[in-house]
Amino acid sequence: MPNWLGATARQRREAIEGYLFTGPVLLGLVFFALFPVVASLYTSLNRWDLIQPMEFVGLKNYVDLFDDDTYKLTVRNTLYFSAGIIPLGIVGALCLALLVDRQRRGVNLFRTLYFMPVVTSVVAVGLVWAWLLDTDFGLVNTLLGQVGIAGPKWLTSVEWAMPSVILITAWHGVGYNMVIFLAGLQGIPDHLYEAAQIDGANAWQRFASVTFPLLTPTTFFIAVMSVISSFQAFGLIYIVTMGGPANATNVLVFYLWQNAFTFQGKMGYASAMAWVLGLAILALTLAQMALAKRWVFYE
Amino acid sequence: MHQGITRKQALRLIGLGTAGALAAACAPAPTPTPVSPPKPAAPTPAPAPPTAAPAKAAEPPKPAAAAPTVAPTPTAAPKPAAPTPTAVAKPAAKEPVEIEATLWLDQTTETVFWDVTNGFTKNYQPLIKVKWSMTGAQYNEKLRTRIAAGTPPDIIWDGPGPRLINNVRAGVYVNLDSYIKADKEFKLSDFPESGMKFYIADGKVTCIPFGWCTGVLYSNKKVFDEAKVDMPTNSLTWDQYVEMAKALTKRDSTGKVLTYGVLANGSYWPYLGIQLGAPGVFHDHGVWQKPAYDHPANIEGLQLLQDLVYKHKVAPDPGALKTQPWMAMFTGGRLAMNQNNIYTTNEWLKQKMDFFMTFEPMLKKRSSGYWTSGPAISVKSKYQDQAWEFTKFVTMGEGTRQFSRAGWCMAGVTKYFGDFLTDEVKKRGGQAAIDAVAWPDNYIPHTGPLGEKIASEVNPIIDLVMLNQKTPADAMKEAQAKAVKVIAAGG
Repeated sequence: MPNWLGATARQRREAIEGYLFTGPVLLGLVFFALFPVVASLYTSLNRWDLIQPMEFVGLKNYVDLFDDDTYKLTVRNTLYFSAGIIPLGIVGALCLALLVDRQRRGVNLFRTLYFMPVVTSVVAVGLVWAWLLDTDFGLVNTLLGQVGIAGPKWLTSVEWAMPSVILITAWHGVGYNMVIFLAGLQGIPDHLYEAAQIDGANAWQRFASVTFPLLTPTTFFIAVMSVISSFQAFGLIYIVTMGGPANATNVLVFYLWQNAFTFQGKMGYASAMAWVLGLAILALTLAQMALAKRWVFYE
Repeated sequence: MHQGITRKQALRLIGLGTAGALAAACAPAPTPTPVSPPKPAAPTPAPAPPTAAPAKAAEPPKPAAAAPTVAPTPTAAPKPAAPTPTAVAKPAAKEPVEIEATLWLDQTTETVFWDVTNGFTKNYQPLIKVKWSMTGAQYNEKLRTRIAAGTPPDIIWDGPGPRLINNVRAGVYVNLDSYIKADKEFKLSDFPESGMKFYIADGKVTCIPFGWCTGVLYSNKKVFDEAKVDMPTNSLTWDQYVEMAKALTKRDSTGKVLTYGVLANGSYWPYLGIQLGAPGVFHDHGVWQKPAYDHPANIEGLQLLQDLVYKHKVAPDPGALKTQPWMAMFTGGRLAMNQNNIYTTNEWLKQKMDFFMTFEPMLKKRSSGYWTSGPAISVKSKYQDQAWEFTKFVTMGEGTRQFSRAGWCMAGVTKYFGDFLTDEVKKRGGQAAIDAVAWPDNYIPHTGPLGEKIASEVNPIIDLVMLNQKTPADAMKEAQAKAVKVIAAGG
């Protein structure tokens, strides 16, 4: 029987059940996502070391960012890191996905091998790579030495540290993008390739005219996610270089963490950095979405 | 047969689970649980606690004077200090309690700390059990989080530097002055004043050192024997030190270094600067002076370090130390000498290595580091009196003597300095550590609330010097400008 809201008892019961099912998630979202976001905005307007009471300073923390040389350096380093990791991550993953797309003997083994770094702890990855790239005793320089090349100081010179971190990060994450590309590749209907082949298209033409255009939605997704994650790089840098040498690999989130926890708690300043970073990522994502109309093709 | 659960049952379970979780989350924080009464102490008589003459109330020394040769510059006025709660001395424990002490070491390796606390409970205070929470890495972060949550440990290990000053100003630590005045066993004058002054923050004693570390030169005797080089003496000059390092540095046929003569720790330059006549970098405990990074002696000190690596090629560059901890290099015979504070004696003894201690190589004047750390008591502690008993034990009682005999430091109070000279340490030249007390200096370059910020700006510049990508003169000029800017901005 309908009640005054027009819902039957069954509909009401189902609605209550629905809220109960989603309740825990909603509570989690409010307490562990929404509340911290709002709290960090408020914190960014204060001077706060976590211990003493907050002191309201208005927009001072935001203004100070413009006068902080280390912050400017970390912005440049972050852009450098992103410029390296995004193309490398996308192109590398696409190549790997193309390699393991076709069902050949042993292909599943290679898919697994390529994906394994993704499920390996970032700490283990960082420590192993630090040893591999050791200047004097690392495997990489030892092998280079055997062919007469004096290997560089991969992680301890200002010039090589960031490229090394980019390579390690790419190695660690490329498998994830590969799986997404693989899903995209396998969603391309075979009849399009057959039609292209009948038209006389060679392998490159089939890739350029069929595969790549139909992969653009996947590429777009990966590009957006790569931009976001590259701006949030932290784990490997913490393990491998600690932002050094001489701040050569100090990126935005690492500097943010230093301010929040190691400089006697500049929590307000760190929150301001987080908000600027968040807004920058939002702006970049919106820009990517706007540009997507020009190059992303949906079937 | 019906399998699984119905939607209604699932909802009930979820509802119960959520209610349970909320109830648990909202429950008050657990209070420290009294431990069971310990077993009676062993029948052997406990060592007598150190006796003291009837206490003349010890006045805390005045804050350290400013460095003499640097002119003050206008700086942001320090914020008024938060009132530090003053504790009232009360009778010792009447019922069993467990108190928690925290510090930054690795609790799986530092067994002497557990031996000390066990000895405290067994032989001195059977009703007080002390549990260590050793954090290993990220001590600052973990500690600050616990303080912010309102559940700090009862005893917090600290020492001269930004954290001590910040925590004193935030009212985190008990002002120990009233304890010191009321306790007849404890005399502040038993502690060396030249070191204690580094512990006075804003005129208050809130932290007491568990011992003292001077700086010495450690030599690996096996490496010297193999290279047929005479061991260094207390009259070693810097030039002799460099020549010795050259003789000790061994290379293979390709030129790869197998054994380095010395260690050129990039953070060591203020030590050398002082020995060359610099006034230090800062020593202020909150009142900032003009920084002295670009003092000629500091530039020269940094140059000496850079030369060890790139001119004389007798010390590993920072890259070589990335995956090879220098301590392992020293114990493993890949490093012949290193200058360090004497706390490392404990490590060399544990490794059973054949080492020798002498004065650090002489520059223009003798100078020695004089640093350590110690317990502070949290104002949130419910067991401040018991924490004070432990504080006394590890700073002027049997605890500090145990640390000293284990090679961690010289004891907190002067009269027990000789405890450091166990037979094992004495025959290895340990007297040098005690003699070095004669010329104490402040080697802590980044004290004060702005210290960490300045360090974060300056250290990358020093890194560039140690990577041979900047000259010491340019680096120090830049460091000076950065420090001035940070101070002017108030952090």
